[in-house]
Amino acid sequence: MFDEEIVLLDITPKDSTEALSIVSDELIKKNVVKESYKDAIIKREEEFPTGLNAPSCGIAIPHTDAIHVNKPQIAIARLAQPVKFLQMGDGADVEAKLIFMLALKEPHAQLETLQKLMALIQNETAVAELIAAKDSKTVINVLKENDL
Amino acid sequence: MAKSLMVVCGTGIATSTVATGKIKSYLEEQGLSSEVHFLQSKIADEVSAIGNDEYDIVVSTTMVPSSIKDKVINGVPLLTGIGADKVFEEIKAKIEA
Repeated sequence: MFDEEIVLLDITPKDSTEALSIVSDELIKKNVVKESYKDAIIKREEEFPTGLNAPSCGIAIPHTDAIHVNKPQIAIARLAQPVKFLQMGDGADVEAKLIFMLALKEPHAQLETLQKLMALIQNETAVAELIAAKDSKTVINVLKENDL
Repeated sequence: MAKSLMVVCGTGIATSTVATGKIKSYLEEQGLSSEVHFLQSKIADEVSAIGNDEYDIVVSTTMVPSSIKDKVINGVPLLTGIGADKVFEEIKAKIEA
């Protein structure tokens, strides 16, 4: 699910909506998702936040309905400065430093990928490597080492 | 009779799938798999059913309206790993209740 290798490093959005917009634009540019994906993902985040306070840093895993998606893909963005998302489930503040934007087609086929992603965000060493990575190649290697 | 375990999230496809997988593995370890049958959905479709107590156990990875909050186990710890044990224990207690 990482075929297109969409990695955005140290983007500087002013808030979570702008962050979602920047990453969505990349997915649209690569034709991974439809134009409608961007509005859908922003609206979905307002209704059902996707922030998670992972053990070592705040992350967000924005995603939306499959009808907006052309092919399954994960895009990763690292923020120069964290922006505030809300935690799914309880609405707690999440200062998100990493965003894993999910373009999902069929849920069960992607279960394994989602499980690996959840394992990754719980792996403090891997998260530290993603935060320290100097270039997108390093980021991709970390993801590959974690089977993503 | 097996109890119904509904897992909900915002879209019904992503985090509820992960949470369902985690709960299944846990119940297998505990030898309790046959005690429940799993259901999965999006919260928007389930608010009234949850309010009407149509499911024995409900786990959510998304925010639920306050009217049904007390009937729902917060499943987010299953995603972050922080506090996951407590969630498993709550589910187990409901199965054995």
